[in-house]
Amino acid sequence: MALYIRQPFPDNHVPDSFLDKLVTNGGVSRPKLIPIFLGATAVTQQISVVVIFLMAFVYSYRKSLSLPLVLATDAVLLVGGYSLAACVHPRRMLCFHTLLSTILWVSLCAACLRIVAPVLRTLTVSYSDDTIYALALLLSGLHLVFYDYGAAWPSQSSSSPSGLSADSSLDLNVSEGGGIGASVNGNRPNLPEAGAARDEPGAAAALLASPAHFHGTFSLNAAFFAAVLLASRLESNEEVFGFVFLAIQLFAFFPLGHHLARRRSMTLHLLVALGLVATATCALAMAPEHRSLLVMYLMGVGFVSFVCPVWLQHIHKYKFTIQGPWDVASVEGAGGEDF
Amino acid sequence: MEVEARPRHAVCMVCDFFYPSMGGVEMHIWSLAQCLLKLGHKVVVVTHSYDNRKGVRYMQNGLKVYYCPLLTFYDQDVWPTLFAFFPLFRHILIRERISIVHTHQATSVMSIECTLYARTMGYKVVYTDHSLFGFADAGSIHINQVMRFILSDVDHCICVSNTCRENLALRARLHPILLSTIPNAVDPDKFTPDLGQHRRLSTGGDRINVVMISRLVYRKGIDLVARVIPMVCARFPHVHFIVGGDGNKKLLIEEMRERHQLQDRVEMLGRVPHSDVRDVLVRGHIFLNCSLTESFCIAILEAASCGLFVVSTCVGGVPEVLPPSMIKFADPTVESLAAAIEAALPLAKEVAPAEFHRRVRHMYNWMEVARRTETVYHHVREASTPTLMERLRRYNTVGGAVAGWLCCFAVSVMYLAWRVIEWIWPREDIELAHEFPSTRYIHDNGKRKK
Repeated sequence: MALYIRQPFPDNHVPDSFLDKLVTNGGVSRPKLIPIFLGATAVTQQISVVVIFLMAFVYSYRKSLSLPLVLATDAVLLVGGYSLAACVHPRRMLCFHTLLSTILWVSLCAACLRIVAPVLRTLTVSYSDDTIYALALLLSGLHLVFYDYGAAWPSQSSSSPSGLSADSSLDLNVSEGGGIGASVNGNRPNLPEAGAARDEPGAAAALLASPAHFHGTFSLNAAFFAAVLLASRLESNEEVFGFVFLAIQLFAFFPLGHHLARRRSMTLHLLVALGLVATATCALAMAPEHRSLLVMYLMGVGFVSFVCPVWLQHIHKYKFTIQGPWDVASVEGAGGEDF
Repeated sequence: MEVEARPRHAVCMVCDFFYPSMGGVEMHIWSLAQCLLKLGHKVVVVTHSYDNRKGVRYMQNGLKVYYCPLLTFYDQDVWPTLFAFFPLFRHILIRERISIVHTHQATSVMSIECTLYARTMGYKVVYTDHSLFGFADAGSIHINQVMRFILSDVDHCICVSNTCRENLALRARLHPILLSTIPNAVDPDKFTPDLGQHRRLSTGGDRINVVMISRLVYRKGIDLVARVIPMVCARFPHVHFIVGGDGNKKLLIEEMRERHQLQDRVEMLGRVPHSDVRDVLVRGHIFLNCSLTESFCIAILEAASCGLFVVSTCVGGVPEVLPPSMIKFADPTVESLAAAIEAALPLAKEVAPAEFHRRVRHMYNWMEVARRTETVYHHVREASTPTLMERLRRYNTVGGAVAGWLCCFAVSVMYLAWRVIEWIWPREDIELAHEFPSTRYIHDNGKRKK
């Protein structure tokens, strides 16, 4: 009904066309179960990573995980991860420059870590063990809550489960950034290494505006804090070094390698997830006094991987959306909303 | 006199947004108030203080404005006061012998609170909605809930476009019979075409200026503009752009200008004061509006009144504003906008600005808006005042088991607060304000001008 013509009826007249542009549940389709199951593996996997991390501490603390073994694991994971990246991106990763810069960067990191290890070891001497364990558990929980589960899922793929917010801009930075340095310093997308951000004009702005990005950083920080706290309970400097380095691998490098694997193939991703669940199960099973933990872990994994997806699909029928001409039109590639 | 024969209303307009702040809502309140004064009604505006503009001020034609001492926290909105503003507001209503409280804008905290205060004291309340809200984002969900609570007991609502009306009906779950559509208008005397300039176009150089004046923010579609401009500039060497306004997306346009070397073809004016808007508009031939959401869009009306052909995104209430012969619509995408500008280029040359101006003048004017609002006031005055129980019953329908009772609780506490205030400051002790003889003043002024 046009406003520029004076209508013959009163202003509060209700025409037949009232609300005829209203669309309810437009574009909402019942999600398929398989993609949700696949999406849930990202959560299962991260829970497993945290369990492995915590068990690694338990075994290091009890000396059942010897120092050489920890260091060897570190080295194997490092080389293995790089090889995996090289498989996916042979041209980028196998060039001499990248290799050299990565080696330099890792050595620098390791050296620094070794130098500060004595400080880390004695950092929390004046605190009681209970405080440290409670804090570490809390921080691990925060890590899980804020972890950017959607980062590995390309947002353009329709199989992306609705429960996981996939954010392509973060994806861009973490997986394409040439060299590992760019990704670890993920909160600084204007680093020269962040090649992808440089190629894509709006990407840097989009990255800064993306809230998912903040979550990723927060989650990573929580995990490292937990690692530092737990490391301060270990006895020797070497053990501290080995443990923190393991934590760096698990929380910083592993997601990178995993994103690459996820991009490569779904099967690879599932294999990785399965491997992690198996490792975590073994780690828990090897400590007989933690039998209840093992049961809890397995139940948790079962709940997250099988019950939650079915639940999500079930409650999806209650979803009710209203669309109409009053909705803010979305602009592709725009850098976020402001008020 | 004819004016005396009509029932006279004493209206109190309440909004956080008023002069010296400038915008759609502010202009609406100002123009409506002026026209109501001319119709012989009494109008008082209640807003919060702006810098050193505080206390009571008289503006043109005896429009009395109360700049109340309230603290602003974001975007000229005051902190919610719960009951703190109640006594002062009650004083004002009694002093000024108000009969109708007219609140504006959903995002104005003052109008939300004053709606409740006024209803508690049994005043008639009319509410005008100026914006559209979605149903999905967190901000909208919250404000919709508040509106549903507040509007479940008002006498009438006014919406500025039919889209806005549909939106409000859904947001506040009100029967549409309680909502009226009364569009905004434009002051045609302020937005006149510049005839000389257009003569130049028809005689000589074929340069076409596309003007855009808006806040440079996401909601105004600046991300689109930044990509449309280079596209159009590449295709049509005779098209130039004039961009007025400021905002956090200004950088985007400046960047675009640098990257595509368009410094000589895209003119950036920065913030344009409202009084200069007309002078900028008349430099152009096409007005570009890329808003992503808009409930009415006065800007395109002002542009059309200045004789510009309008190219706009087809969002919200925009399609209702101008007839198809004066506007070219586009989808909110870069390609569609570029195509619409391309299609508008030949049309813009054939526009007769005087004719456009005449048509807009015929379609919209504030006096008409004021008359239609007056009809609402008449209607509201006849309505019965609900008892407290009746009101509580209305509020109880707001939500599920919890929300309804919560609203009832808030309203009951408000009622008790009112009784306490009545006891502390008895109605009889409040001094009545002297009336400004607006009608005589306007009458005399008119004669003097002649």
